[in-house]
Amino acid sequence: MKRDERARARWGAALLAALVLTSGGPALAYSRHGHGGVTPLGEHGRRERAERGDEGQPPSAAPGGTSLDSAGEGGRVFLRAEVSEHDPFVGQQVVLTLKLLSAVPIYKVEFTAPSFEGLKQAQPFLESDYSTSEGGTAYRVHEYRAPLYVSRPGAAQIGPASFSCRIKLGSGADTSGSMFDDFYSGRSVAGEGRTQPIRLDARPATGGAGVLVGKTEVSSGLAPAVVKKGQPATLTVEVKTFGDDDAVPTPRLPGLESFQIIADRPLTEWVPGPDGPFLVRKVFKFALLGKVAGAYTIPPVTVPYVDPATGRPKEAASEALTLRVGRGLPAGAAPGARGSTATVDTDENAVIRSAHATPPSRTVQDPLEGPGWAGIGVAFLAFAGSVGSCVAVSRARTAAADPGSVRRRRALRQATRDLTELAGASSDAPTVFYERVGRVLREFLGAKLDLPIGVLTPEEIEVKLSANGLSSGTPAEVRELLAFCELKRWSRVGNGSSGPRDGDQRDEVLSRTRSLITKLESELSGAAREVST
Amino acid sequence: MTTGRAQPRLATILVVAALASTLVAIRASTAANPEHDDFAHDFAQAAQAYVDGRYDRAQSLFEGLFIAGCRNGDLFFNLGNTYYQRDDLGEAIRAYRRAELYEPRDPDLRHNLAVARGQVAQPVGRAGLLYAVRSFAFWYDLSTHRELALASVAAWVALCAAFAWRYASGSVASGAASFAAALALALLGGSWGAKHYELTRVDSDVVVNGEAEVHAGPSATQPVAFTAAEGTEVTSVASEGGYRKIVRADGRQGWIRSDQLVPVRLDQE
Repeated sequence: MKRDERARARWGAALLAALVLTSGGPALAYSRHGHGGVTPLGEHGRRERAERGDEGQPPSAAPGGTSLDSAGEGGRVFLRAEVSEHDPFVGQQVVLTLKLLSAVPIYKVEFTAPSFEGLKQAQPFLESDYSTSEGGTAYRVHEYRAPLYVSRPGAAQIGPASFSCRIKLGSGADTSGSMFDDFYSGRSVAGEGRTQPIRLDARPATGGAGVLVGKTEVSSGLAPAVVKKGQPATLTVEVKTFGDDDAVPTPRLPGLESFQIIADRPLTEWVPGPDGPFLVRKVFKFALLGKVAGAYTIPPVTVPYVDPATGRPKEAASEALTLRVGRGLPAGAAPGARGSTATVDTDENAVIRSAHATPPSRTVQDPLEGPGWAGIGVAFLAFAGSVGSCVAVSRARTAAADPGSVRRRRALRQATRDLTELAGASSDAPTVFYERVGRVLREFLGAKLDLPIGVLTPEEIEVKLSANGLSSGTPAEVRELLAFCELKRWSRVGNGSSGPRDGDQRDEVLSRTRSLITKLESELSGAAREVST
Repeated sequence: MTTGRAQPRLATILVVAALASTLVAIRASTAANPEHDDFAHDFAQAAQAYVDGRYDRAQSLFEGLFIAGCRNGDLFFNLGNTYYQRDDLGEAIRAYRRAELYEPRDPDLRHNLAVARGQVAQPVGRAGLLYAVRSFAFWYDLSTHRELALASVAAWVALCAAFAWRYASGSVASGAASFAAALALALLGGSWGAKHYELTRVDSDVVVNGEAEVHAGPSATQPVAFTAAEGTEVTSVASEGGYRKIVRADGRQGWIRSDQLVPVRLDQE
C-alpha cells in the first residue's frame, strides 16, 4: 500500500518536473537551493561568531543554545536540549526536550533522534510548534519531547540529536531563482546542527530494579454493583503514575475466592503534561463472576511506589467496594410470577445476608422458655408485698382512727404470753405470783375496755362489765378471781416458799384465769368503744 | 418484746428465700453446658463451610448440630441460609421461621425471611381477623415466648405496686396507674398465652419439594382445588390417610400429601 503511494508520488513529481523543465531554469534552482552547499552549521556558526568576536559565548538572543548559523543570519537559529532531571532514580521518568528556536523563518526542518545509553525511551518524540519571546526577540520554536526512564544506576547518556533545515536569508536577495523562490520569498541556505550530549547520574531506587518510581494514584470502580449469581460485574482499576508503565504491577484481588475472575489486557495511555512529565494512565479491567450469593467487600487495590521527591517507598490505594451477588431465580419460578412485595424484586433486596459465624453463648435454648423460677419468685414477692403493704396501711389507718385498737387487739396475745411465763416461774413467792396474775387480768380488761382499770376495785369492774352487756356470771367470776388474788397476795401463808399444795392451787388459778380471759375475749369483742364512751 | 422480733425474722427469711431462688434460677440459666464447646466448634466449622461456599458440607454440619440437640436462633438462621443457597426454598423458610422463635427482631433474619418469602412463586396474601389482630398486637410477632412471659411478670409486679399505691393514697394518678398496669397485664398475659398456644397447639407447616397439588379431599383421585408453591406457609387442621388438611393464609383450604409438608414446630420434628 505504502509502496503504491510512493510510486504515485514519484509519478506526480516526474510530471511536475516535466512541467518545470518546459518553463526553463527551475531545475537549477532546485539544485542550488535544495541540496547544494549544505554547511556544517556548527562550524559555520562558530566561524562567524569568531569573526564577530563572541566565540564560545551563547548568542544573546537565545542563551544556552547551539546556533544553527548561516551566512548573513548568524545567531538567529538555535538548538537547545534539556532534561527534567540530571540525577534521577532508576525507573524515574526523565523528560528530554529538544528545541529548535528560530528568529527567522525556517522550513524543511528535519530531526534525527539522539541515541540513548542506560536509558529507555518510553514513547516516541512528541512534536509541537509554538512561538515564544526571549530577550525581546520573538522566536518560533520547534519542540520535540519524549519520556525516558533510567534503566540502571550509574552514568547514563543522551547522545546528540541532529537538526537540519532551510533558513530564509531575506526577501529579494536572489532574483535569479526559479519560480519557487517567490514561494520561499527570497534566498535560503541550508542549516544543520547537533545538540550537545547530556550526561545523567542515576541513583538506585529503594526497593530495587523494577519498582515503580513516580507519584502514583489508584482508583477503582464497579459496574454494576449488584449482580445475580453467574452474572459478571466489571471491576475497573485505574492507575495514574509518572513512573514507568512496565513497572505498574497487576492489581491483586485477595479475598474473592467466591468469584471467577477474568482479567482483560490492561490499556495504557500517555498523557503529556503541558510542560511537565508525561502521565501514564493504565487501566486494568476484571470480570467478576459470583459463584456464591452474598455481599462481598472488594478490598482496596494497593500499588507500591517510590516517591522521587523523598526517595521513600509509599503506597497508593483505592477505596474498598461492595459487590452484592444475588441468588438466581428459583427452579421453576417464572420471573413474572415472582414476589408479592415489590421491594423484594429489586436486585438490592434479593440478596440474603450472610451467615452468623459466631456461635451463640447459649447453644441450647427452649423456644417455650417461661419466666423461670426467678420470675415466679418475683411475681410472688410482688403479690405478697402488695398484700402486706395494704394490710400495713389498713392497720395504720385503724390505729390513727382508734388509738386503743392496737392495744385491744394485742390484749389476748399479751395475756396468754404473760400467763405462760407465770406458769414457768414456779419459784416466785405466792404474794408475787398472785399479784402478777391479778395484774394480767386487770391489764387485759384495761386494754379491752380502754379504762384505767388498775385503780378500780373488783366491784367497780364487775359493774363496768355488766354495763357492757356481759352475761351475769362472767363479771362475778372476774370479781371473785380478782378478790381471790388480792386475798392471796396479802395472806401470810407460805412465807415465800411454795409447797406441793400451793403449786396445785397456782395451776388451778392459772387455768381459771386463762379460761376467763378466753371467755372475756369472745364476749368483749368490739365492746371497748361502747364502754369508753 | 418477742412480737416485735418475730416479724423482721419472717421478712428476712422471705427476702433471703427470694434472693436465693433468683440466684439459683440465674445460675441454672447460665450454667456451663458440657456440650456447649462441642456445639460451638461444630458451629464454627459449619459457618466456615458456608462462607467458603461448600453448602452441602455446611448443611450436613448444621443438621448434625440440630440432631445433636443444639437449638438457637443462629443455628436456624444459618441453616435457612444454607437451604436457600441450595435452592431449597421451603426448608429455608421453615428454618427462618424456627429462628424467629429465638430472635424475632434480628434484622438479618427479618430481611432474609422477607427475601425468601418474596421468592415464593405464588404469593399468598394474608386475610382474616387473626391477621388483623396480629397486625394490631405488633409486639406479638416481635417477641419470644420468654420475653412475653417476663413482660407479663413485670406487668403483674407493676399491677401489684399500683394497687398498693392506690390502696394507700387513693389518688387519681394511682388509679390511672392501676388501670394501665391492668391493661398491660391483660395484653401481655394474653399475648403470652396466645404464643404458648401457637407454639404448642397450632400446626404450622411449609410446603416443600416443589409445587404441591391441593386436593378437595384426602385422596389423589379428588379434584385439585388449587396448587401451593414451594415455600407456601400453611396451617394443618386435620390428617387422614397420608394427607393433611391445610388452610392457607388467604383462607383457602384443601388436602395435601403429608410428605410435601414440613412442620415449623420443633416438637413435631
